[in-house]
Amino acid sequence: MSAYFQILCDFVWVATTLALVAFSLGLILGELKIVNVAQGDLMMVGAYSMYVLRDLPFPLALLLTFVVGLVLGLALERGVLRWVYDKGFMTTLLASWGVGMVLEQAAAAIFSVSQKGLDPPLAGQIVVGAFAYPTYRIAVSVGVVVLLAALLALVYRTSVGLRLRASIDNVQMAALMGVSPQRTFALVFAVATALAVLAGALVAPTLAITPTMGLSYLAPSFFAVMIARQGSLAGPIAGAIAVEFVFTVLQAYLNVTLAESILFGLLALFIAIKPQGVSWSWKKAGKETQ
Amino acid sequence: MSKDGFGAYGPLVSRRGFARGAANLALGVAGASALGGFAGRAQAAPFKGSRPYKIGFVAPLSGPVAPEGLAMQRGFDLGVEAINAVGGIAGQPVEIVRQDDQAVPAVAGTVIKKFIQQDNVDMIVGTITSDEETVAGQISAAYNVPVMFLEAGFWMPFCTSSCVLLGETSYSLLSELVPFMAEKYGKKFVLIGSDFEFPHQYLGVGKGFIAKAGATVTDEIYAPLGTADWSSSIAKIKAAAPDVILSAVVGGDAIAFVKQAKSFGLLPGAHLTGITLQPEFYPPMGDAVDGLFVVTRYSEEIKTAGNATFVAAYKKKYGEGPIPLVGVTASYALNFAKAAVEKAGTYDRKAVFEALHGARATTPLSDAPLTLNASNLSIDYPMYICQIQSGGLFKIVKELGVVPAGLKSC
Repeated sequence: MSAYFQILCDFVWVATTLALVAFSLGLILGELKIVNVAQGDLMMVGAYSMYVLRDLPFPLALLLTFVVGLVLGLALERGVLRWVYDKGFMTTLLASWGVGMVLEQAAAAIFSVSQKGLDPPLAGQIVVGAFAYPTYRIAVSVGVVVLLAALLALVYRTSVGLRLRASIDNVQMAALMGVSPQRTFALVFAVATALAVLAGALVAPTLAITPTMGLSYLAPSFFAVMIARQGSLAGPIAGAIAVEFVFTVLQAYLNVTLAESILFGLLALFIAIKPQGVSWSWKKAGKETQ
Repeated sequence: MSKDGFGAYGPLVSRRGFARGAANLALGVAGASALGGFAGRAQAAPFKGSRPYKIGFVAPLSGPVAPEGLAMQRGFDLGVEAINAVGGIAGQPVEIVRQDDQAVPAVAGTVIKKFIQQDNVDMIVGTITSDEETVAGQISAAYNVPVMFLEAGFWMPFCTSSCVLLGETSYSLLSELVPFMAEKYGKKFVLIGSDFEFPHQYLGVGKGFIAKAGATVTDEIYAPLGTADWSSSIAKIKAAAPDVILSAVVGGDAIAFVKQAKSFGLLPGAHLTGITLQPEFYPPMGDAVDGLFVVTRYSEEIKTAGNATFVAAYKKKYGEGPIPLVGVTASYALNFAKAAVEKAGTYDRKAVFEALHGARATTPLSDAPLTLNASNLSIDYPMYICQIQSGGLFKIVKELGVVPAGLKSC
């Protein structure tokens, strides 16, 4: 029985952190129409920020890292992306790729490529009978679920969220209604960047911190976004859960390499069959092509 | 890979059979000169080169194994400084062209072709992963350019290439380690590794020694390089409840694996060993690996004049902290180049490669020069069983003497 609890907890741990990254990616893709391939590098910034701030209390370091993410996002949007919005898909893709490269090289120059490590702020495990699971992972999973719930409530239950969704659906129409596109773009990119940075900060104590550490999150988070309906903000979260569920089941029974190959094969097939993605909304069940 | 897991390695050699390697070392002692540093002093050099000796240095300075590439570069730079300080090679300074190959075999191939065709290098040193080495070996063989591999473990058909292996082999890393662990902790092994050529080969060799020790492998787990989450693999290890975990998880993944093993309560407590336990990984791994045993050919504790000089030079240049093994190897690679060129009496690449057969050079590892075996182009190193101490020192607990590389003869 403890093996099943282990699989369940592993799934929740990775699915929640992946969902945070995918939500951020979906936000950028939905609002700015940019495929942000620097997403993994933004996670890396969060991890290094926590490394720099490792002597501070963990919650304070996390808060400061989030602020770093906001500032970085604002700087990138104002300094780089706003100049290429109207230059087409390929240009924005290359711009974000360039941003990622610069961030990686900057990290290598400042910290060297040698691995850095952080100890989790919560050591030990929660033990229930024969089952034990790291306390830190459970705490982060719960925290991220609460954060994502709050973000979804903000998006779907507030006027701010209404304006955001209107802007995602039709930016020109929203502008006519008084929603400033430039301000919205900057704010959305800053928040999305801060969320990716936060995700990196949260996983940092479990990984080796290197300039390329975020790359392993890139492919699954992209798939999570791509299998969701375009423009949906809840979709990437559901997509992340779906991707990680399949992967967790596969790797419980198969070699990790084989599990990854099958997962990405299945996802590629799914996207080929259903390029418009799936609407995860309960209300729209049966009308997912809308 | 053969069914016994020894593949390109020769027949199993008993400890008594190590006499040949020991004899090599003894011969070296007789010919050793006083050391002014860790740079080699080969035989008298009547040959005087007409231009600087040009070496292409290729390493993954970005990508998933960049830390190892950087460590290699650091040691190599020290070696260049040291050898130029004692007159260079054939009385000429050593000139280096260097390039990052990102640990991508295709990039490694492009870099090596550029070194050969555009830079006209006399020799190539470097690369980390077995995939890069395979490409490097194929290209350099076509152009008869000698290549020195510095990283541990990988074998390739050296007899049909122009490559030599300065790192230790999987055979020498495991031939003493496996029986030691089996005797000390028990005979149930789990194998875990990164999913590319070298870990498969390393663990394949390990399986041969495990069977020879009368032990069994209860599970064998591989995960792709760059794996972030090791929880499912750790769960499988815990379920198998092994006496020993033999690990070939490498690069940054080694750190993630160990940190997560600690958070899941597998470490400390489990008897983890293998090439995962590298000195340079200690700071981020922390106390999770304290007390574990590993076989290595280098410890800062080795008491030779060359090692004292090397450690002082390394720490002066790069600060305190564990010294990476691949950095140590890189520091003395040029000593073998010097010995070969001066023995060949020419820069001619083919002649220098021939001269590398049986070349002897000083290293920080022993007072006596070490010999690059003429028969299999690898080195029989003195090896040690070390226990990792708090703070990262690999403390020597048992000297194993000279352990054969174990590769088949050409």
